[in-house]
Amino acid sequence: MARLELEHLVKRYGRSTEVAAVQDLSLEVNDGEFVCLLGPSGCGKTTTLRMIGGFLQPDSGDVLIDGVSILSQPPERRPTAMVFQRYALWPHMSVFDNVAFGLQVRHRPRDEIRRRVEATLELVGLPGLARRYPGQLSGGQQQRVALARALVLEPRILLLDEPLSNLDAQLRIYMRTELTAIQRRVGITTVFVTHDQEEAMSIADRIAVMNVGVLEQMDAPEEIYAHPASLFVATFIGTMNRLDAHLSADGRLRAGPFDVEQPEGAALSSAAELVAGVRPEDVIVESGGEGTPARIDHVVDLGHYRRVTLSAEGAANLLAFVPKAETLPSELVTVRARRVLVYADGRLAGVAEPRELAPVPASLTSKRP
Amino acid sequence: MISQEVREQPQVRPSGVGALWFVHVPELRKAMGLILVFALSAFLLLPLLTLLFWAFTDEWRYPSILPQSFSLRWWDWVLTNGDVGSAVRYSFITAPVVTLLSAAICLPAAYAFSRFRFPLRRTLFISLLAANAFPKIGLYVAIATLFYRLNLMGTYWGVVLIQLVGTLVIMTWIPAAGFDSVARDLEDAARDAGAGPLRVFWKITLPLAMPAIIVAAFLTFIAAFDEAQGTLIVGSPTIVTMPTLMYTLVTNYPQPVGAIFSILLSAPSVVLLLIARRFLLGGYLAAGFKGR
Repeated sequence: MARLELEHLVKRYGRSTEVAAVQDLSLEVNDGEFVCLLGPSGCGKTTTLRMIGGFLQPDSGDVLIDGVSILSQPPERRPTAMVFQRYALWPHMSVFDNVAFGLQVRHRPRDEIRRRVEATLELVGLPGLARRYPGQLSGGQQQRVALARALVLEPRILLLDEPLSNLDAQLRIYMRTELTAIQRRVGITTVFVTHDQEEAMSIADRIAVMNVGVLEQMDAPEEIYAHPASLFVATFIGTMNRLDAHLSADGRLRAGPFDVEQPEGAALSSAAELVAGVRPEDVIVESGGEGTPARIDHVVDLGHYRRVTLSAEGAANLLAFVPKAETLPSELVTVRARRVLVYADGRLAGVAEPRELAPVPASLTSKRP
Repeated sequence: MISQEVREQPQVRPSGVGALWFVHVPELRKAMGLILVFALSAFLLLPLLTLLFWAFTDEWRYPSILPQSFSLRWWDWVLTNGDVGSAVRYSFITAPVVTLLSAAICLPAAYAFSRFRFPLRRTLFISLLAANAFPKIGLYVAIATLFYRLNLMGTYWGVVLIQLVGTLVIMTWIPAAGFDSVARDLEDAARDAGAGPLRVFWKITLPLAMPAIIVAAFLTFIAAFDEAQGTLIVGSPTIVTMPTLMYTLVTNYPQPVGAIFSILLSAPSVVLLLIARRFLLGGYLAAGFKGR
């Protein structure tokens, strides 16, 4: 197994004056780690993956596996294996031949090829389908063949390019758990590209969030959710109330309807553009409390919790997730914030957490929206 | 019943249909389809049927729908004729050579057109049509003057070259489309699995483009086999292939001879068509492309 390092990768398409597809990207993937590259389409995540696989040459920067640069090697020499978005199975070859191809290229003995292909098909849960052709398989089965074809070569790095995006919703969730189980069993260092934040949150050890070619944050899923390093990450992952904020004369922070103390250790300057982010589960809705008066506009019952849209001074569409067990006040509605993320010029400056408030009910934190 | 129809029509038929109203009545539409199929079949098959009758006719005079008497007399004449034998031989040594030569020249070009971006790519691609875009006879006469200088008139290679001209577009455009249809991902996946560029071409790209190449080769063979104008100008009188001999036979001999010769001339096309059917509908294609 192996450790992957990307150092200051830059890739531009077309004229060099255009914004780079990938700008100065540096990250490390540890031995056996499952890392997701997450971002909206066009953020450079697939470009990055193709540079690791060798299908694109970076304009500058380096790709290292266990400290050795692989940049000069063509794709066929790199110790990486890729699962393509549309599987890219060869339609004129049987499942067996598809999986065996890489071994045949390496002139392995016939017995060994058969043994390894069968073992790998077993691993991905497809025994007995070796004689079929890709066209005779379902999407999920094709997916597994593509995975087997990558794994049979025992690569040091496994690259997956949105492999689940062509499956229907239910199968996608099932394959997600299958994929993580296989990855854990093999223990292979894996880079997975996706635009689906829920997918990334549920399978990755760490997530690298990218936007317009820039790495915004790389952290464990919980960390990304709890401490989004930038305003982009804060709004891209999960649901977030984005509120205009400013420092008041008494040194406190006014964030939309909320009045909180400045986060500890954050030296906020009034010159910076301040924005506050409050997760809907951190909005406390009570009757006659000490918070800001608000009005309930809309309530959607989502089974285990309710999504409440409120309007208050400084926030027209304030979202709050209220557990089913709590009753919603009918009059004298007030809102408080349990936790406020403060962004100065788009970067996380600090988190304001009033100590006296109770932690978020477990029923809300366990289920990420 | 009539009144019911009248009442229902405004709902069934959208307004402003005009002369094509019958298209919107399902029964009539179905009938129209059938009529069209029959008309088309008759249009295609009746001349062939007449041809078939003529080939076995001894005597067939005007008012009668069927020949008065049948015989194999003219078959015997055609099949034992020395000119016919030599024409068949020339046809079968030119058409395959033209096909192979065309493939050797055009397939690399087709691959380049499909996979590489180079200056004037589109212009060159379209210009292949030039030889087929103008009346052939003018082009052939111009080429003939050139061939006189090069001493190619009346030679085997002269005939091969003139037949080659018309096949270039077929042998480039169809395989180029075939190479286009091979997704880059399939090639990338093979590179990823450890195959070098050449092996990727032989193992992935070429097999997947093969149906298009086979079709192009068949069409090229038929185009070369049926080519008459250029062959007549360049080849005659030394090189007489089946289509050029046809001119002589049709003008100088009774009608059954022309009919028999037409059947002989169409035989290779029919055989190739049957082989093509097997190639293209059976095997991996039917299985492999279902899901794509």
